[in-house]
Amino acid sequence: MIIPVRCFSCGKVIGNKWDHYLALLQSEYSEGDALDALGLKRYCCRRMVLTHVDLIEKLLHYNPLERSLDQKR
Amino acid sequence: MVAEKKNFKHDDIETLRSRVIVGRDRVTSTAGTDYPHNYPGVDLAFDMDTFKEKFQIKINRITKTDMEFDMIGVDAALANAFRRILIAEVPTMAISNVFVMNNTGVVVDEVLAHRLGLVPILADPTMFDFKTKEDTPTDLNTIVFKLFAKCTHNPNAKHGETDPAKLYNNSSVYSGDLVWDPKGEQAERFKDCPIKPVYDDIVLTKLRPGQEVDLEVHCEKGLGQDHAKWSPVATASYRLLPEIVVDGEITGEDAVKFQGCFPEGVVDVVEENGVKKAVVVNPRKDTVSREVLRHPEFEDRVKLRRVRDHFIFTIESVGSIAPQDLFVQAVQVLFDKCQQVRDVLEATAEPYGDVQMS
Amino acid sequence: MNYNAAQSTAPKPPAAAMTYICAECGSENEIKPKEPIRCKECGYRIMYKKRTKRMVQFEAR
Repeated sequence: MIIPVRCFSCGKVIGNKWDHYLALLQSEYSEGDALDALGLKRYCCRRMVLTHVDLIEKLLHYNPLERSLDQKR
Repeated sequence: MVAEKKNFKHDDIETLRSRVIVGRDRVTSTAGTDYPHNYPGVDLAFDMDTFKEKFQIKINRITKTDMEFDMIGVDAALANAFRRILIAEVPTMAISNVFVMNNTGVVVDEVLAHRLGLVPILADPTMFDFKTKEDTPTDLNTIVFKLFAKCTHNPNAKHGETDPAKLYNNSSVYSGDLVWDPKGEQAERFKDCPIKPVYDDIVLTKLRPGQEVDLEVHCEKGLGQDHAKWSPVATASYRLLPEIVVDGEITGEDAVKFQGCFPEGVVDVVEENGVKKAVVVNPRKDTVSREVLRHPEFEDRVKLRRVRDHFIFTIESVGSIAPQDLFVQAVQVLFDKCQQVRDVLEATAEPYGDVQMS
Repeated sequence: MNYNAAQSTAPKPPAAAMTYICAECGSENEIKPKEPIRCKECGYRIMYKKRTKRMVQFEAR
Protein backbone atom coordinates (compact mmCIF):
# COMPACT_ATOMS: atom_id res chain seq x y z
CA MET A 1 0.00 0.00 0.00
CA ILE A 2 2.56 2.53 1.17
CA ILE A 3 6.26 1.97 0.46
CA PRO A 4 7.61 -0.39 3.15
CA VAL A 5 10.14 1.12 5.56
CA ARG A 6 12.65 -1.69 5.06
CA CYS A 7 13.49 -4.39 2.55
CA PHE A 8 11.66 -7.57 3.59
CA SER A 9 14.68 -9.78 3.03
CA CYS A 10 17.76 -7.88 4.14
CA GLY A 11 16.43 -4.99 6.22
CA LYS A 12 17.93 -2.12 4.24
CA VAL A 13 15.97 1.11 4.66
CA ILE A 14 14.02 1.81 1.47
CA GLY A 15 11.19 3.92 2.94
CA ASN A 16 12.97 7.11 1.90
CA LYS A 17 13.65 6.03 -1.68
CA TRP A 18 10.23 5.91 -3.36
CA ASP A 19 9.92 9.65 -3.99
CA HIS A 20 13.47 9.76 -5.37
CA TYR A 21 12.70 6.78 -7.57
CA LEU A 22 9.64 8.50 -9.05
CA ALA A 23 11.65 11.68 -9.59
CA LEU A 24 14.36 9.71 -11.39
CA LEU A 25 11.80 7.99 -13.62
CA GLN A 26 10.32 11.42 -14.41
CA SER A 27 13.74 12.61 -15.50
CA GLU A 28 13.87 9.78 -18.05
CA TYR A 29 16.04 7.31 -16.18
CA SER A 30 15.36 3.68 -17.00
CA GLU A 31 14.13 1.59 -14.05
CA GLY A 32 17.45 -0.21 -13.76
CA ASP A 33 19.50 2.98 -13.84
CA ALA A 34 17.21 4.61 -11.29
CA LEU A 35 17.62 1.69 -8.89
CA ASP A 36 21.40 1.86 -9.35
CA ALA A 37 21.33 5.59 -8.67
CA LEU A 38 19.41 4.95 -5.43
CA GLY A 39 22.17 2.57 -4.30
CA LEU A 40 20.01 -0.54 -4.37
CA LYS A 41 22.46 -3.24 -5.43
CA ARG A 42 20.90 -6.46 -4.12
CA TYR A 43 17.94 -7.87 -6.00
CA CYS A 44 15.90 -8.14 -2.80
CA CYS A 45 15.97 -4.36 -2.27
CA ARG A 46 15.56 -3.66 -5.98
CA ARG A 47 12.36 -5.67 -6.20
CA MET A 48 10.94 -3.77 -3.21
CA VAL A 49 11.02 -0.50 -5.11
CA LEU A 50 10.65 -1.85 -8.67
CA THR A 51 7.47 -3.83 -7.97
CA HIS A 52 5.86 -1.48 -5.48
CA VAL A 53 2.36 -0.19 -6.29
CA ASP A 54 1.60 2.97 -4.32
CA LEU A 55 -2.06 2.19 -3.60
CA ILE A 56 -2.25 4.66 -0.71
CA GLU A 57 -2.62 7.45 -3.27
CA LYS A 58 -5.95 5.89 -4.30
CA LEU A 59 -7.15 5.45 -0.72
CA LEU A 60 -6.32 9.06 0.12
CA HIS A 61 -9.16 10.13 -2.17
CA TYR A 62 -11.64 8.65 0.29
CA ASN A 63 -11.54 11.30 3.02
CA PRO A 64 -14.85 11.90 4.83
CA LEU A 65 -13.31 14.78 6.76
CA GLU A 66 -12.42 16.72 3.66
CA ARG A 67 -16.00 16.88 2.44
CA SER A 68 -17.08 19.05 5.36
CA LEU A 69 -14.13 21.32 4.76
CA ASP A 70 -15.18 21.61 1.12
CA GLN A 71 -18.64 22.57 2.22
CA LYS A 72 -17.41 25.24 4.60
CA ARG A 73 -15.35 26.85 1.84
CA MET B 1 52.35 -34.38 -22.08
CA VAL B 2 49.89 -37.02 -20.94
CA ALA B 3 51.62 -37.34 -17.61
CA GLU B 4 51.57 -33.59 -17.16
CA LYS B 5 47.87 -33.46 -17.77
CA LYS B 6 47.23 -36.23 -15.30
CA ASN B 7 49.28 -34.31 -12.77
CA PHE B 8 47.16 -31.26 -13.29
CA LYS B 9 44.02 -33.25 -12.70
CA HIS B 10 45.32 -34.65 -9.48
CA ASP B 11 44.89 -32.50 -6.37
CA ASP B 12 47.65 -32.97 -3.83
CA ILE B 13 46.88 -33.21 -0.15
CA GLU B 14 47.90 -29.62 0.58
CA THR B 15 45.38 -28.36 -1.99
CA LEU B 16 42.65 -30.51 -0.49
CA ARG B 17 43.50 -29.17 2.97
CA SER B 18 43.50 -25.49 2.08
CA ARG B 19 41.11 -25.18 -0.86
CA VAL B 20 37.49 -25.84 -1.66
CA ILE B 21 37.32 -27.51 -5.07
CA VAL B 22 34.62 -26.20 -7.38
CA GLY B 23 33.71 -28.80 -10.00
CA ARG B 24 31.43 -28.57 -13.01
CA ASP B 25 28.52 -30.14 -11.20
CA ARG B 26 29.68 -30.38 -7.61
CA VAL B 27 31.68 -28.72 -4.90
CA THR B 28 34.10 -30.99 -3.06
CA SER B 29 36.56 -30.74 -0.22
CA THR B 30 34.25 -28.37 1.57
CA ALA B 31 34.91 -29.33 5.18
CA GLY B 32 37.96 -28.04 7.00
CA THR B 33 40.37 -30.74 8.13
CA ASP B 34 42.69 -28.63 10.24
CA TYR B 35 42.45 -30.54 13.47
CA PRO B 36 44.79 -32.87 15.33
CA HIS B 37 45.45 -36.45 14.19
CA ASN B 38 44.28 -35.75 10.67
CA TYR B 39 47.61 -35.54 8.87
CA PRO B 40 50.43 -37.86 9.92
CA GLY B 41 53.21 -35.94 11.60
CA VAL B 42 51.41 -32.60 11.55
CA ASP B 43 50.19 -31.21 14.85
CA LEU B 44 47.21 -29.02 14.06
CA ALA B 45 46.16 -28.35 17.64
CA PHE B 46 45.15 -24.73 18.20
CA ASP B 47 48.10 -22.64 19.14
CA MET B 48 47.87 -18.96 19.94
CA ASP B 49 51.27 -18.09 18.49
CA THR B 50 50.70 -19.73 15.12
CA PHE B 51 47.23 -18.20 15.01
CA LYS B 52 48.66 -14.75 15.65
CA GLU B 53 51.23 -15.32 12.94
CA LYS B 54 48.72 -16.46 10.34
CA PHE B 55 45.73 -14.28 11.18
CA GLN B 56 45.27 -11.13 9.11
CA ILE B 57 42.62 -8.51 8.59
CA LYS B 58 42.90 -6.31 5.52
CA ILE B 59 40.39 -3.51 5.15
CA ASN B 60 39.50 -2.89 1.52
CA ARG B 61 36.80 -0.28 1.75
CA ILE B 62 35.04 1.73 4.45
CA THR B 63 32.23 4.20 3.90
CA LYS B 64 29.76 5.60 6.42
CA THR B 65 27.54 2.52 6.17
CA ASP B 66 29.50 -0.08 4.18
CA MET B 67 32.68 -1.94 4.81
CA GLU B 68 34.57 -4.76 3.11
CA PHE B 69 37.54 -6.49 4.62
CA ASP B 70 39.50 -9.71 4.23
CA MET B 71 39.73 -11.98 7.21
CA ILE B 72 42.50 -14.51 6.62
CA GLY B 73 43.50 -17.47 8.74
CA VAL B 74 40.33 -18.36 10.62
CA ASP B 75 37.99 -21.32 10.46
CA ALA B 76 34.56 -20.97 8.88
CA ALA B 77 33.01 -21.62 12.29
CA LEU B 78 34.54 -18.45 13.70
CA ALA B 79 33.82 -16.31 10.63
CA ASN B 80 30.23 -17.53 10.69
CA ALA B 81 29.94 -16.79 14.41
CA PHE B 82 30.88 -13.17 13.70
CA ARG B 83 28.38 -12.98 10.87
CA ARG B 84 25.57 -14.35 13.00
CA ILE B 85 26.43 -12.13 15.97
CA LEU B 86 26.42 -9.08 13.71
CA ILE B 87 22.94 -9.91 12.48
CA ALA B 88 21.31 -11.06 15.69
CA GLU B 89 23.26 -10.20 18.83
CA VAL B 90 24.69 -6.70 18.64
CA PRO B 91 22.26 -4.44 20.53
CA THR B 92 20.67 -1.30 19.07
CA MET B 93 17.83 1.03 20.03
CA ALA B 94 14.46 0.75 18.28
CA ILE B 95 10.90 1.87 18.86
CA SER B 96 9.08 -0.85 20.79
CA ASN B 97 5.90 0.79 22.08
CA VAL B 98 3.57 3.22 20.39
CA PHE B 99 0.89 5.17 22.26
CA VAL B 100 -1.67 6.46 19.81
CA MET B 101 -3.65 9.47 20.97
CA ASN B 102 -5.20 10.11 17.58
CA ASN B 103 -4.77 8.73 14.09
CA THR B 104 -7.43 9.55 11.54
CA GLY B 105 -5.30 8.80 8.49
CA VAL B 106 -5.82 5.87 6.14
CA VAL B 107 -2.85 3.93 7.58
CA VAL B 108 -4.31 2.04 10.52
CA ASP B 109 -2.78 2.18 14.00
CA GLU B 110 -1.08 -1.22 14.04
CA VAL B 111 0.44 -0.77 10.59
CA LEU B 112 1.70 2.67 11.57
CA ALA B 113 3.11 1.25 14.80
CA HIS B 114 4.89 -1.48 12.85
CA ARG B 115 6.35 1.06 10.43
CA LEU B 116 7.55 3.23 13.30
CA GLY B 117 9.28 0.21 14.83
CA LEU B 118 11.38 -0.28 11.71
CA VAL B 119 12.76 3.28 11.71
CA PRO B 120 16.43 3.09 12.75
CA ILE B 121 17.25 5.35 15.70
CA LEU B 122 20.58 7.18 15.96
CA ALA B 123 21.45 6.58 19.61
CA ASP B 124 24.42 4.90 21.23
CA PRO B 125 23.01 1.66 22.70
CA THR B 126 25.96 1.34 25.08
CA MET B 127 24.54 4.36 26.95
CA PHE B 128 21.34 2.46 27.77
CA ASP B 129 20.26 -0.57 29.79
CA PHE B 130 18.07 -3.41 28.59
CA LYS B 131 14.50 -3.01 29.78
CA THR B 132 12.71 -6.17 30.91
CA LYS B 133 8.95 -6.57 30.98
CA GLU B 134 8.86 -5.82 34.73
CA ASP B 135 11.07 -2.72 34.55
CA THR B 136 9.43 0.66 34.58
CA PRO B 137 10.59 3.05 31.88
CA THR B 138 13.40 5.34 33.09
CA ASP B 139 15.79 7.71 31.37
CA LEU B 140 18.36 4.89 31.41
CA ASN B 141 16.33 2.39 29.38
CA THR B 142 13.82 4.35 27.31
CA ILE B 143 13.92 7.09 24.70
CA VAL B 144 10.69 9.03 24.08
CA PHE B 145 9.69 10.62 20.80
CA LYS B 146 6.53 12.56 20.07
CA LEU B 147 4.87 12.78 16.70
CA PHE B 148 2.15 15.24 15.86
CA ALA B 149 1.05 16.14 12.37
CA LYS B 150 -2.18 17.58 11.08
CA CYS B 151 -2.84 17.95 7.40
CA THR B 152 -4.35 21.23 6.19
CA HIS B 153 -4.98 22.97 2.90
CA ASN B 154 -2.13 25.17 1.79
CA PRO B 155 -3.66 28.65 1.27
CA ASN B 156 -0.69 29.67 -0.87
CA ALA B 157 -1.12 26.84 -3.38
CA LYS B 158 -1.57 27.93 -6.97
CA HIS B 159 -4.95 27.35 -8.55
CA GLY B 160 -5.07 24.04 -10.39
CA GLU B 161 -2.10 22.62 -8.49
CA THR B 162 -2.16 18.80 -8.43
CA ASP B 163 0.95 17.93 -6.40
CA PRO B 164 -0.29 16.99 -2.90
CA ALA B 165 2.98 18.20 -1.37
CA LYS B 166 2.24 21.73 -2.56
CA LEU B 167 -1.54 21.60 -2.33
CA TYR B 168 -1.56 20.61 1.36
CA ASN B 169 0.57 21.10 4.45
CA ASN B 170 1.81 17.86 6.06
CA SER B 171 0.53 15.65 3.23
CA SER B 172 3.31 13.18 4.12
CA VAL B 173 4.56 12.47 7.62
CA TYR B 174 8.29 11.74 7.68
CA SER B 175 10.54 10.12 10.27
CA GLY B 176 12.12 13.57 10.67
CA ASP B 177 8.84 14.75 12.23
CA LEU B 178 9.54 12.59 15.28
CA VAL B 179 10.52 14.99 18.05
CA TRP B 180 12.82 13.68 20.73
CA ASP B 181 11.49 14.35 24.22
CA PRO B 182 14.53 14.14 26.55
CA LYS B 183 13.69 12.65 29.95
CA GLY B 184 15.65 12.99 33.17
CA GLU B 185 19.32 13.52 32.48
CA GLN B 186 19.10 12.57 28.81
CA ALA B 187 19.32 16.16 27.55
CA GLU B 188 22.58 16.55 29.47
CA ARG B 189 24.00 13.12 28.55
CA PHE B 190 23.30 13.42 24.83
CA LYS B 191 23.91 17.13 24.31
CA ASP B 192 26.78 16.36 21.90
CA CYS B 193 24.82 13.86 19.82
CA PRO B 194 21.08 14.53 20.06
CA ILE B 195 18.97 11.42 19.56
CA LYS B 196 17.08 11.29 16.27
CA PRO B 197 16.10 8.86 13.53
CA VAL B 198 19.03 7.92 11.27
CA TYR B 199 17.09 9.07 8.20
CA ASP B 200 14.81 12.10 8.27
CA ASP B 201 12.98 11.31 5.04
CA ILE B 202 11.33 7.92 5.61
CA VAL B 203 7.63 8.18 4.79
CA LEU B 204 5.64 7.02 7.83
CA THR B 205 2.12 7.81 6.67
CA LYS B 206 0.28 10.10 4.29
CA LEU B 207 -2.56 12.43 5.27
CA ARG B 208 -5.24 14.52 3.64
CA PRO B 209 -6.82 17.73 4.98
CA GLY B 210 -8.55 17.21 8.32
CA GLN B 211 -6.64 14.02 9.14
CA GLU B 212 -4.08 13.98 11.90
CA VAL B 213 -1.73 11.73 13.82
CA ASP B 214 -0.79 12.37 17.41
CA LEU B 215 1.30 9.77 19.15
CA GLU B 216 4.14 9.06 21.51
CA VAL B 217 6.71 6.30 21.02
CA HIS B 218 9.07 4.59 23.42
CA CYS B 219 12.40 3.18 22.17
CA GLU B 220 14.10 0.33 23.96
CA LYS B 221 17.38 -1.51 23.64
CA GLY B 222 17.10 -4.92 22.02
CA LEU B 223 18.74 -7.66 19.95
CA GLY B 224 18.17 -8.72 16.36
CA GLN B 225 17.32 -12.22 17.53
CA ASP B 226 14.19 -10.79 19.18
CA HIS B 227 13.03 -8.75 16.18
CA ALA B 228 14.76 -7.70 12.95
CA LYS B 229 14.19 -4.02 13.77
CA TRP B 230 16.97 -4.31 16.37
CA SER B 231 19.42 -5.78 13.87
CA PRO B 232 22.23 -3.23 13.33
CA VAL B 233 23.05 -4.50 9.84
CA ALA B 234 21.21 -4.68 6.57
CA THR B 235 23.53 -7.51 5.56
CA ALA B 236 26.61 -9.07 7.02
CA SER B 237 28.04 -11.73 4.74
CA TYR B 238 31.22 -13.33 3.57
CA ARG B 239 32.48 -15.30 0.61
CA LEU B 240 35.65 -17.28 0.13
CA LEU B 241 38.40 -15.88 -2.09
CA PRO B 242 38.11 -17.51 -5.54
CA GLU B 243 41.16 -18.99 -7.20
CA ILE B 244 41.55 -19.80 -10.90
CA VAL B 245 44.35 -22.17 -11.92
CA VAL B 246 45.10 -22.67 -15.61
CA ASP B 247 47.14 -25.55 -17.02
CA GLY B 248 49.62 -24.16 -19.56
CA GLU B 249 48.52 -21.24 -21.73
CA ILE B 250 45.26 -20.39 -23.40
CA THR B 251 45.98 -18.59 -26.67
CA GLY B 252 44.37 -17.33 -29.85
CA GLU B 253 40.60 -17.08 -30.17
CA ASP B 254 40.24 -19.40 -27.18
CA ALA B 255 41.74 -16.66 -25.02
CA VAL B 256 38.95 -14.27 -25.92
CA LYS B 257 36.35 -16.95 -25.30
CA PHE B 258 38.03 -17.76 -22.00
CA GLN B 259 37.87 -14.12 -20.98
CA GLY B 260 34.17 -14.08 -21.84
CA CYS B 261 33.53 -16.89 -19.36
CA PHE B 262 34.33 -14.61 -16.41
CA PRO B 263 33.00 -11.28 -15.15
CA GLU B 264 34.78 -8.18 -16.37
CA GLY B 265 38.24 -7.64 -14.94
CA VAL B 266 38.95 -11.23 -13.95
CA VAL B 267 40.84 -12.26 -17.08
CA ASP B 268 42.90 -10.02 -19.37
CA VAL B 269 43.82 -10.85 -22.95
CA VAL B 270 47.36 -9.70 -23.74
CA GLU B 271 49.15 -9.93 -27.07
CA GLU B 272 52.61 -11.43 -27.09
CA ASN B 273 54.45 -11.53 -30.46
CA GLY B 274 51.12 -11.22 -32.23
CA VAL B 275 49.53 -14.08 -30.28
CA LYS B 276 46.63 -13.46 -27.96
CA LYS B 277 47.04 -14.93 -24.50
CA ALA B 278 44.67 -15.12 -21.55
CA VAL B 279 46.01 -14.03 -18.17
CA VAL B 280 44.09 -14.33 -14.91
CA VAL B 281 44.56 -10.92 -13.28
CA ASN B 282 41.95 -10.61 -10.55
CA PRO B 283 40.23 -13.83 -9.44
CA ARG B 284 38.69 -11.90 -6.49
CA LYS B 285 36.17 -10.38 -8.89
CA ASP B 286 35.01 -13.81 -10.07
CA THR B 287 31.51 -14.86 -9.07
CA VAL B 288 32.49 -18.53 -9.55
CA SER B 289 29.66 -19.04 -11.99
CA ARG B 290 31.54 -22.07 -13.41
CA GLU B 291 30.75 -20.95 -16.95
CA VAL B 292 34.26 -22.03 -18.10
CA LEU B 293 33.64 -25.59 -17.03
CA ARG B 294 30.73 -25.87 -19.45
CA HIS B 295 33.09 -25.63 -22.42
CA PRO B 296 34.87 -28.91 -23.27
CA GLU B 297 38.00 -27.12 -24.53
CA PHE B 298 38.49 -25.56 -21.08
CA GLU B 299 37.02 -28.16 -18.79
CA ASP B 300 40.24 -30.12 -18.26
CA ARG B 301 42.55 -27.13 -18.40
CA VAL B 302 41.06 -24.91 -15.72
CA LYS B 303 40.52 -25.42 -12.03
CA LEU B 304 38.22 -23.30 -9.95
CA ARG B 305 38.91 -23.26 -6.25
CA ARG B 306 38.25 -21.17 -3.21
CA VAL B 307 40.71 -20.48 -0.42
CA ARG B 308 39.14 -22.07 2.62
CA ASP B 309 40.46 -19.68 5.25
CA HIS B 310 40.26 -16.42 3.30
CA PHE B 311 36.96 -14.69 3.99
CA ILE B 312 35.90 -11.59 2.08
CA PHE B 313 33.61 -10.06 4.68
CA THR B 314 31.05 -7.37 3.87
CA ILE B 315 29.13 -5.42 6.50
CA GLU B 316 26.38 -3.03 5.55
CA SER B 317 25.19 -1.08 8.57
CA VAL B 318 21.65 0.23 8.83
CA GLY B 319 23.23 3.52 9.90
CA SER B 320 23.01 3.74 13.68
CA ILE B 321 26.47 2.26 14.31
CA ALA B 322 29.48 2.61 11.99
CA PRO B 323 30.42 -0.73 10.36
CA GLN B 324 33.96 -0.81 11.81
CA ASP B 325 32.53 -0.33 15.32
CA LEU B 326 29.95 -3.03 14.65
CA PHE B 327 32.62 -5.62 14.02
CA VAL B 328 34.48 -4.67 17.19
CA GLN B 329 31.24 -4.98 19.15
CA ALA B 330 30.55 -8.37 17.57
CA VAL B 331 33.99 -9.59 18.67
CA GLN B 332 33.25 -8.31 22.18
CA VAL B 333 29.97 -10.22 22.26
CA LEU B 334 31.73 -13.46 21.33
CA PHE B 335 34.45 -12.70 23.86
CA ASP B 336 31.86 -12.21 26.63
CA LYS B 337 30.17 -15.48 25.69
CA CYS B 338 33.47 -17.36 25.90
CA GLN B 339 34.21 -15.73 29.23
CA GLN B 340 30.86 -16.85 30.56
CA VAL B 341 31.39 -20.46 29.50
CA ARG B 342 34.85 -20.37 31.00
CA ASP B 343 33.59 -19.04 34.34
CA VAL B 344 30.95 -21.73 34.53
CA LEU B 345 33.42 -24.46 33.64
CA GLU B 346 35.87 -23.25 36.24
CA ALA B 347 33.15 -23.14 38.86
CA THR B 348 32.03 -26.69 38.14
CA ALA B 349 35.58 -28.03 37.96
CA GLU B 350 36.75 -26.43 41.19
CA PRO B 351 35.53 -29.07 43.68
CA TYR B 352 37.48 -31.72 41.79
CA GLY B 353 40.62 -29.66 41.47
CA ASP B 354 41.85 -31.62 38.47
CA VAL B 355 41.13 -29.23 35.63
CA GLN B 356 43.72 -26.68 34.65
CA MET B 357 42.71 -23.80 32.46
CA SER B 358 45.35 -21.35 31.45
CA MET C 1 -8.64 -0.76 31.27
CA ASN C 2 -11.29 -0.77 33.98
CA TYR C 3 -14.22 -0.34 31.71
CA ASN C 4 -16.92 -1.77 34.00
CA ALA C 5 -16.02 0.36 36.98
CA ALA C 6 -16.16 3.51 34.91
CA GLN C 7 -19.59 2.56 33.72
CA SER C 8 -21.05 1.82 37.13
CA THR C 9 -19.66 4.76 39.11
CA ALA C 10 -20.10 7.53 36.55
CA PRO C 11 -23.49 9.25 36.80
CA LYS C 12 -25.53 8.52 33.73
CA PRO C 13 -25.78 11.67 31.61
CA PRO C 14 -29.36 12.22 30.51
CA ALA C 15 -29.78 10.92 26.96
CA ALA C 16 -26.10 11.22 26.01
CA ALA C 17 -25.88 12.64 22.53
CA MET C 18 -23.18 11.08 20.38
CA THR C 19 -21.51 12.87 17.55
CA TYR C 20 -21.34 11.07 14.21
CA ILE C 21 -19.89 12.04 10.88
CA CYS C 22 -22.10 11.90 7.84
CA ALA C 23 -20.74 9.61 5.14
CA GLU C 24 -22.14 11.83 2.41
CA CYS C 25 -21.43 15.43 3.36
CA GLY C 26 -18.98 14.94 6.25
CA SER C 27 -20.82 17.22 8.65
CA GLU C 28 -20.99 16.37 12.34
CA ASN C 29 -24.35 15.26 13.69
CA GLU C 30 -25.45 14.88 17.27
CA ILE C 31 -27.79 11.93 17.49
CA LYS C 32 -29.51 10.90 20.72
CA PRO C 33 -30.72 7.37 21.48
CA LYS C 34 -33.88 6.37 19.58
CA GLU C 35 -33.53 9.33 17.26
CA PRO C 36 -33.61 8.47 13.56
CA ILE C 37 -30.19 8.04 12.03
CA ARG C 38 -30.30 10.78 9.49
CA CYS C 39 -28.01 13.63 8.62
CA LYS C 40 -29.47 17.03 9.48
CA GLU C 41 -27.64 18.65 6.59
CA CYS C 42 -28.30 16.33 3.70
CA GLY C 43 -30.62 13.59 4.88
CA TYR C 44 -28.13 10.82 4.25
CA ARG C 45 -28.59 7.74 6.42
CA ILE C 46 -25.04 6.37 6.72
CA MET C 47 -23.01 7.70 9.63
CA TYR C 48 -19.46 7.10 10.76
CA LYS C 49 -18.60 6.82 14.41
CA LYS C 50 -15.79 9.08 15.61
CA ARG C 51 -12.53 7.62 16.73
CA THR C 52 -12.08 7.04 20.46
CA LYS C 53 -10.40 9.84 22.40
CA ARG C 54 -8.70 7.26 24.60
CA MET C 55 -5.02 6.51 24.14
CA VAL C 56 -4.38 3.16 22.48
CA GLN C 57 -1.13 1.28 23.04
CA PHE C 58 0.55 -0.85 20.39
CA GLU C 59 3.69 -2.92 20.25
CA ALA C 60 5.74 -1.77 17.28
CA ARG C 61 6.17 -5.27 15.77
